[in-house]
Amino acid sequence: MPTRELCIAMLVLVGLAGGAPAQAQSPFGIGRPATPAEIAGWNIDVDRYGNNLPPGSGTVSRGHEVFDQQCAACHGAKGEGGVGDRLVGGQGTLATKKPVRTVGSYWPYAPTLFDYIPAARCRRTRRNLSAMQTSMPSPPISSI
Amino acid sequence: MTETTDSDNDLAVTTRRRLLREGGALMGGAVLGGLASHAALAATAETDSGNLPPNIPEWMKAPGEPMGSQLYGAPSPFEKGVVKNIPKNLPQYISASGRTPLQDLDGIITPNGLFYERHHGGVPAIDPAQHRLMLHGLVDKPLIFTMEDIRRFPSQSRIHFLECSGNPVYKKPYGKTASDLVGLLSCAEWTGVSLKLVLQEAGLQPGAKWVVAEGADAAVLTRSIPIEKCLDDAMLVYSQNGERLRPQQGYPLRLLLPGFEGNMNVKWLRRLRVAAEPTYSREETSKYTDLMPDGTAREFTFYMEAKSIITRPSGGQKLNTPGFHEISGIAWSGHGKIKRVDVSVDDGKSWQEAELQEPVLTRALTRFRLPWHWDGQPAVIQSRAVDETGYVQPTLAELIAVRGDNHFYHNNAIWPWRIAASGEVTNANA
Repeated sequence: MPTRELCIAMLVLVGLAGGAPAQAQSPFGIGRPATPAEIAGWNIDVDRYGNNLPPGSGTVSRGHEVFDQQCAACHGAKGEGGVGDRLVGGQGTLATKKPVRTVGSYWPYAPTLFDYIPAARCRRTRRNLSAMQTSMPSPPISSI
Repeated sequence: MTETTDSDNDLAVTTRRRLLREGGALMGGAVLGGLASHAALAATAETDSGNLPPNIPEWMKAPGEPMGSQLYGAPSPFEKGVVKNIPKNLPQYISASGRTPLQDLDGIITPNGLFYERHHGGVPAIDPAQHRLMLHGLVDKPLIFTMEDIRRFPSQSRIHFLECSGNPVYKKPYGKTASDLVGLLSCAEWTGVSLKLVLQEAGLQPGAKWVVAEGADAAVLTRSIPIEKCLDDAMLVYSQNGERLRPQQGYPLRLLLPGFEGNMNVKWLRRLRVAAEPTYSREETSKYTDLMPDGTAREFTFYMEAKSIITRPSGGQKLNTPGFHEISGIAWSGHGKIKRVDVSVDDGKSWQEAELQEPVLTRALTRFRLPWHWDGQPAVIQSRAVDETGYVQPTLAELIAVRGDNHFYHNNAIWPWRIAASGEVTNANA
């Protein structure tokens, strides 16, 4: 029947139209699998809950030592700022004419320090500190 | 510490230097038309060079430079004053920026050598053969791509602007020129691959709501991007205005998020982690957040809203004569196309609709023009952009009334220029 043949022809056409672009769509088979070791080496993100923190532990007093050695030159002996950002103080100033934005007054999450410092995002620590050491200064900064 | 470091003094020094350079370069040249930059003013005195009518100019009397004298072309030496506007005494490896000389450019495309720069840890020298992009997280198949791999994907080219979110600040001192004010803005034709295609190659898993992008620079700049943008018009870009990206623009690979604040368009892109949440990196908590007068802060303020500025005549230039002058400038919006630009030549009392140069593209610079007859009297001129959403560019006073002057980023205020009876153009808000 002509009507039925027409329907079949249309179905074929629809199939062709739908099928042709699919060949140009993903997946293209481009790239190679990333191994767990490769991902572990590059994934240095620490989220606001502290997921993916490097192993290790520290104390406030040991952290002070590391801070004095590695951080104070840029951020000041007491974190008051210098070449680098001021790190402490400023609580209660954000709604005033002269807000002081520091780790203590403005950063919403402490684990961001662990994300920032060891990931070499801080200029000095990128070369000098091991993952173990970089976990040290954060407790004193956070505790001030 | 603040994100920008320029002061009035730095800018004044830059201008003086440029005047000296260009003054020398233009020696003997006549200023065409009625508008001159400070630099050209130094050369207004015509000299008897012998190159003017009725004489035959010297450059017609002997053959010029041979083919191949420049394997990569450079502008005329007479244009050597048209360079990036870089404040002095930058804390280079913490927070450096260089501005596009908007007042010296025509059209909507920024030459690659004058494209604005902003980096947080210097410009890395990356060997493309040793560069890799890792895509992992909430995907079916974590993947690693070489640059050759990236270039195998179907490509696309689009014209979009890029703008730093701190362009300009809300507090005085304000800059003197269009470049000082909004020179952290440029526009180019970008070529690369749709990020959506690359994400599909790995296969997104349920719960994939954000993509965390990371740069391979010493700052390891990291920003989180909502998945909706990644599946819309985001691109992985390897070429700019037809040639490979410049190192300052992320060579060999950068992210492009049309209409989003500049720093999110991560340069030297090495890693994309698909996640359920943002990573809350330093650059999206401590920096690039907007402190409001009540002490709360807005975060993830992605869009660069509608904005415009007159680039000619603009601060630092001079109208040499009353009479006809074309007013010209640029308008843009992170939300889409520019619908209309109004221009006022009477300090905001009345507004006229400017002509828009076609094509008007989404999330790209749009050039506008208005013919104007200057009567030689003091005047204040300004432009006001309206985008396709109906959003109208606000005044600085309107912005500060809502955000306070401790706000740092996303200043898209109208910026008026004052023209003195002498023809000198200055910043009317300064």
